Amino acid sequence: MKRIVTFTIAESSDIIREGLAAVLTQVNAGFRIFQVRDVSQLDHHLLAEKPDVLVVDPALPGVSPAKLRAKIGRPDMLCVALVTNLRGLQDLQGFDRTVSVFDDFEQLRENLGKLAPRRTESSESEKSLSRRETEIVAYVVKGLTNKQIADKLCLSQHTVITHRRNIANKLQIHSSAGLVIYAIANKLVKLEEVK
Amino acid sequence: MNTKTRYTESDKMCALVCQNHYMLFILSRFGIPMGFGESSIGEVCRKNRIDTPTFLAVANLFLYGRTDQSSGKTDLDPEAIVRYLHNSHEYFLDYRFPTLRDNLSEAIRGKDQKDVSVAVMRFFDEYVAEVRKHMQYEEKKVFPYIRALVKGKADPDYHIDIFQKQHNQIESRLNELRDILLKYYTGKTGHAFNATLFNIFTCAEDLRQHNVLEDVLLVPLIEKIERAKAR
Repeated sequence: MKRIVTFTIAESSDIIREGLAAVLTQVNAGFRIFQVRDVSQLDHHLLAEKPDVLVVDPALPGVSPAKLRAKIGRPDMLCVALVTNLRGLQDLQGFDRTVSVFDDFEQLRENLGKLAPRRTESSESEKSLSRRETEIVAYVVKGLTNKQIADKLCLSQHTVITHRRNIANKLQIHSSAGLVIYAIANKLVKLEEVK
Repeated sequence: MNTKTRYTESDKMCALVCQNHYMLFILSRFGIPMGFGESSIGEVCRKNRIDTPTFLAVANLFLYGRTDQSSGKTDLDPEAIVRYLHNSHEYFLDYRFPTLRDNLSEAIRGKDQKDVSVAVMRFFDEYVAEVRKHMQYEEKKVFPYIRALVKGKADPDYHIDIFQKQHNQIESRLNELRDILLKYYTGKTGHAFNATLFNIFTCAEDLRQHNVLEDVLLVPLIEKIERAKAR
């Protein structure tokens, strides 16, 4: 799971909303945070952005996780109840988690921080290329088609495509011009071999 | 750590620029010269015949990103935004990219680096051509459409959401180049090389901001005008 997790914080208090957004950014820089100040605009916003996580005050009229999920067609949207008072818990039906304004940084990190991998943690995709993948990079930058590469290496075209996708993920290079720089810098090919 | 102030027209122009030097880019694109002394943002804007709410919306958006409250505001001047974007295009295409290209060829030199240098230049030139196409489309299609719309004579077959659909993240390929150089460049580096990388970071950020401005200020504003005219 190496993707950005999007949050929507729906809260009319500027202090609480901006504060939570600032803390969440510190918890994990991989979070992308939308803020909705005018809660009557929430439906409209959710339809447009379809966030992964919604943080909202459960006491607001008309906020029902089940209904909101159904409305935007995201049954997997994580709904977090934002509790802003000390009066005890309201009806939290349908909410997956609870965050309180009295939570400290560590509690928030424990609760929500692991939704996205931290940017500094290396993942599977950042490992270096295998020998087979390196061979394929060289053929790709020399201008061979998937079919030609498959024939040369006695692989199916499907396997070549899978390799290419893995290469793009590992190197985070998605253009052929970028792959050429990589291949030349790593001396996999010479410039005159590049198509 | 976050000590940013949301600026209003009575704040001093000098304070705005000193807080965030990216504001220098915004000043030149609005055509605001230096030497503003102790004048406020509002005074400087009026003196230079620039719509103050639009200037503040652009500056605050730059400082606060998408969460800025000014997004979707209706009292902005479409002509001022279009002119600003046009000046940005000129800046990138006629000044920033050519300078960056010179920096790059200066940074990657030497006999054993020749091949890498050619590959990097090819990447860069392809990238600039792509951005040029995107910006020229805006100049030839989107801006004339907006100007006509404001005058009530818009092309009925065009809508701003067509533009939004074609709109992609123009900075992502520049970031790809940045990452390739950071992660896989094994040749000789030095002051010029690192300074160039630094420039790529700032240029990509600047392009990202350019896109955010189009998405957050321009498109919602034009959509509102379209809806009002359709009534």
